[in-house]
Amino acid sequence: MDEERTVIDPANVSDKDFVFVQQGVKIMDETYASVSYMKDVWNHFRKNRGAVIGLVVICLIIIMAIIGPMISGYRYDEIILTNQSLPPRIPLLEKLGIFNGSERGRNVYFERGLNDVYYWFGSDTNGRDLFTRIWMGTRVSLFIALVAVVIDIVVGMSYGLISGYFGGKVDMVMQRFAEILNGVPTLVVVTLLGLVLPQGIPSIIFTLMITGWIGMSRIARAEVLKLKENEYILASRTLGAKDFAIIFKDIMPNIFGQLIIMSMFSVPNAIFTEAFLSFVGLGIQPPQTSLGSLISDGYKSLTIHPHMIMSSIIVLALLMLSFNMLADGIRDAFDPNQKKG
Amino acid sequence: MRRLKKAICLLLALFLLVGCGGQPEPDSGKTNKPITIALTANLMTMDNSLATDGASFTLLAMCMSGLTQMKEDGTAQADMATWDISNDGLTYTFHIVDGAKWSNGDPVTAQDFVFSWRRLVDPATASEYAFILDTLHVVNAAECAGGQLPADQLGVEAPDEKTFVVHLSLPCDFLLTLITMPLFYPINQKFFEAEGDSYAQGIDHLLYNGAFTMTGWEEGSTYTFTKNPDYVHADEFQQETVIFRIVLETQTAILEYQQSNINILTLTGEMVDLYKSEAGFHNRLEGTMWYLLPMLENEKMANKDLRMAISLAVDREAIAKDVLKDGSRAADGIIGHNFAFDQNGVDFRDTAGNLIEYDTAKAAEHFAKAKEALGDKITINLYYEDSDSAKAVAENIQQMLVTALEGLEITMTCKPKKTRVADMLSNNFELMLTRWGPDYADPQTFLDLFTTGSSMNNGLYNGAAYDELIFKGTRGEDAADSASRWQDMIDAEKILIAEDFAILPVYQYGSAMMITPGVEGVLFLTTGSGTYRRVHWAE
Amino acid sequence: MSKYVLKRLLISIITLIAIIFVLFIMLDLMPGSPFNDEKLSEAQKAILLAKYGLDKPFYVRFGKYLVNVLKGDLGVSYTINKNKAIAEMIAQPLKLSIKVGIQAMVIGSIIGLIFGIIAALNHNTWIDSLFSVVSIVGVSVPSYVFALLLALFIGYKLNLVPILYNASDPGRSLILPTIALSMFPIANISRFTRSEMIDVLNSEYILLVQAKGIKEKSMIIHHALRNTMIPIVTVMGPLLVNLLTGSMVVEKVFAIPGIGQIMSQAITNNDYNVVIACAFVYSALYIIMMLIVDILYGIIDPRIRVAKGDS
Repeated sequence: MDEERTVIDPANVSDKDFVFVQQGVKIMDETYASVSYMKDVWNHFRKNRGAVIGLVVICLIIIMAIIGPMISGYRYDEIILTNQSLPPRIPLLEKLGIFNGSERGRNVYFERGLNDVYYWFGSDTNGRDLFTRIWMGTRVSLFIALVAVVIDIVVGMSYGLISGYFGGKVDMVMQRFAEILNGVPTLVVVTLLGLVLPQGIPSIIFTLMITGWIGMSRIARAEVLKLKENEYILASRTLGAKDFAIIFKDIMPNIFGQLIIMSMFSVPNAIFTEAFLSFVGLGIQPPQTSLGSLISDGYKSLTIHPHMIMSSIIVLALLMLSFNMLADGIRDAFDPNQKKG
Repeated sequence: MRRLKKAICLLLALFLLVGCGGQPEPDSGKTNKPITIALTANLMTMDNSLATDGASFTLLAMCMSGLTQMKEDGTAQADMATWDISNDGLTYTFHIVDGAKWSNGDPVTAQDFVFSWRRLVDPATASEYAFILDTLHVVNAAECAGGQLPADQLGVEAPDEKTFVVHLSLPCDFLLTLITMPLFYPINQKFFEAEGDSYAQGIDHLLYNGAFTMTGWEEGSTYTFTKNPDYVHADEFQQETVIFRIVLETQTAILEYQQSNINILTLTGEMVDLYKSEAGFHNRLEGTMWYLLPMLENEKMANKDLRMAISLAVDREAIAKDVLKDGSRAADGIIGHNFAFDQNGVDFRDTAGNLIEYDTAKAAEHFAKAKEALGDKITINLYYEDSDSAKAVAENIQQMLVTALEGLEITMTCKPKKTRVADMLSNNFELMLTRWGPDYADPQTFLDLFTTGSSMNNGLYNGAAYDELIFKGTRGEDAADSASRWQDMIDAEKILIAEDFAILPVYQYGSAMMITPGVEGVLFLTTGSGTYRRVHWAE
Repeated sequence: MSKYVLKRLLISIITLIAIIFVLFIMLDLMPGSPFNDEKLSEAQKAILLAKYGLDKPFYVRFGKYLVNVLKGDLGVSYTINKNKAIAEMIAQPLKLSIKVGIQAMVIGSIIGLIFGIIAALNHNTWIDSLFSVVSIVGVSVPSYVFALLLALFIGYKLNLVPILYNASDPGRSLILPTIALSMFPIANISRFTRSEMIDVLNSEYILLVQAKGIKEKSMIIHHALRNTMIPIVTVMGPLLVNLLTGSMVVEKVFAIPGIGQIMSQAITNNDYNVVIACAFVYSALYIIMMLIVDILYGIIDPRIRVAKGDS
């Protein structure tokens, strides 16, 4: 951005100050190979290192969510009361002095005579293997993340686009409806739902349907307000394009990337909402678990056994980080402004 | 990077701005430092007739006094009054001690007690404890509470300013300890009526006759008590200031304890394990009993073999020792240990023995029989509340049951306490983890619950033999005879727990506390009030 | 403009009434009552319901409530602070929560904006990546975990500031809660600013500004930031209201007697009146924020004002 500029004194311009450009270059029209839109997007995406790393990490996490619960030798719901609250202990690594099962300078495993016992991520207050539980929880949380993003995009974005594009009375009515829905604090809605709905996944989806999409709709609306006065929209309209065609074909591709990024932010929110739901009796049924519930359980022992919350927060943060890098990549790939040949 | 530096400077400046409050006040003197007690629940009311929760009872007992007060050994001693008991045990005459007065200078009179007790029983007051006068067998208490008689027909009277008389329909062994509860404290009628709706809404809207007066009231945060020099027994109290601090998060409370900003607090779960070897650690077994309540009109739970199988498959010892670790004790019956004592001071539990067995092989046998009747796959819903301890216990019970009983599936329902209670009262559950906190130190407080027609008999237990024994012991032929009454209770409990398996007791609640070494005078009471009124620094 | 504001204000009031109506219906459908305690007899429950007018039909209660609210009377608490006037009960806690919320929001927005701008200007470098990681950790770690960690390390181990809220020293004792609560806005706003800024920096008019040789600093402040602000203002309003509702657990950690504490207690104790009052306050705050945001739109972006004027 700070390119050097040669200062030229306008009073003393000589022929030497002018140079011919493109000398020796054969000037002719370039033709690009015809590539389909999606392929073009993919080509751009591939070049983005961060995005590819993100995708790989997500795939790894998904693979772990599938096979992780099977490889530690413990069942996720297996309570062994003698093995409560054990810190992480990993074979081989323990020889290096890390993950050797000590807490506050004492090796808890040896103290309890569990010389041949290994909990890679430690165990929880009920003596359940956290490694297995984290990957079981990841399954649930990934599903909830997916639901949250789909709701965000399908409901929130469309709502915001339509409301913002039409403006006037439509906007007024739609915004008031969203305001009423959002004006009732989520906490109250969720708690009240908790009293009437049964525990389980359908209730979680239902709750997210009610509360999850409003933030996104507001952002989408703001973006439309910014774009809809642009000339190219006017041009499209003059050419006889229908309203919905303008919304979804002309406006949406321009803001889609931005919205994808924002929808990633609803992921942790949804995951924590789910954790809160289990608190009010709506979330996942024990002994099943989720990353959110693991975090809120681990929180109760944070100052005593920090390992209980650490592993689940790290998995969540990794998940979030890679989702974000992926979203960034997708955004750049979709964004027509960033295509420079 | 200069921008970043600027940003950091700006940030620091902001915090300095935010942070430029006054410095904390220094301690006023080492000899009479305040004692700060952390409460884990909010104060709900300072109106002694309406109080129901632990925090309200605790604070009321600090600044007000009843007829009697608790001693360290769990017996009652004189507070506002001394007493005589008639030979038949039906008339208690209390003599108000000289010098008993309110913080506005008015003397405490017998009329103050009459007013308060009538107010407690009056349906218009809608006290949740209106029933308790009937538990004491005060004449006409049930009729007054039910609205059949006006409140002034209650069997209490004030023949003169200094004499308060209570008439009972049956003798009551625990009257003197039960009336240490703030529900029975006096109310100055003149003051009460002058205050109207604002009564008990702030430190100036209350009169004090107790060891302390309330001098600070920061809603939801801090409540300060200062020694009351006008209190009749003021010479027994040395502590100048006691502060109650609401801290709902134990993890921060313990940090403050270690910095000596909090002197007394209750520990939960994991912390007990960590702090149990420290000097300030105290354990205390309470009367509260947690139990599994089967809904007997449910087709599955009506099967006795299934209930027996469940009871036999739950390892109470593990739940108390390994899951809760807070000093809780495996249940041996519905009445806890160290809770109720007979005339000779023998623990009820020692006489009644252990009624509960843990035997997974036997459990499997009974479950096999249950399966013959109910089919090979049995699904039961376990309903519990959302507290940490209830969650941990429920998850362990679930695991114990499905491990021991092949073919059993346990689904879980976890709701906030109020919702759980609502569903319990409307009999909307299959198997519920619930509890009962006793109001007085007698087996009756538990056994009354499960009689046919009792509003608390939510498992709809219908035991003819049980009902008969309870009636005989509490209102019938044995009511006046302590020894046979006691035997009736023992027999009744046996029928309830070991024969009909109508209630499956799990554990007796124990609480763990940290008390700064040097702080003395915390009373570990199973019933009655006044745990903290005698706290003080050691000489 | 004033006509537009007036119109919006009127609509806001109608929205608020609609919200109270929705709340009323929801609480009506809720099982149990404030008085479903084990120890209350049926007769007593009936007396209590009659005393507080809860035995009346739905529309009577709703109508009466609206009239009272107009008079500034939010009713009394049934269980958590027996017979106390709610308006009196929530005034102090609300002030306290708003104070902490605004402190956190101001700090969060400023730092968030700065982080976002730095990241955008260094798009696709390690600085950008670093800020991304920091902000993503910021949204992935719940604020109450931050709160407890701050209490543990800054409050306890370093002993720099008090852990628990202290009414006689609010300045110092609110430092930790403010930091804990500002994490989420920092993360959110910096992410958002970054991506908006990148968009703006890629637009033609910035190219023109650059071509004109205007200094980078001035370009960012006068040209880029202004256009970045529109969507950011949109998220800021709800973020602030979220801070107030979301501060519940943080309030618990630092023992702050704020509105979140009252609300969570009211909900678990079925104290309907307090639940409605708190929800009403939140809704009112929320709607006011939305109103401000709408008006700010007009100020920041003249195009919207013109468009609104047209329709």
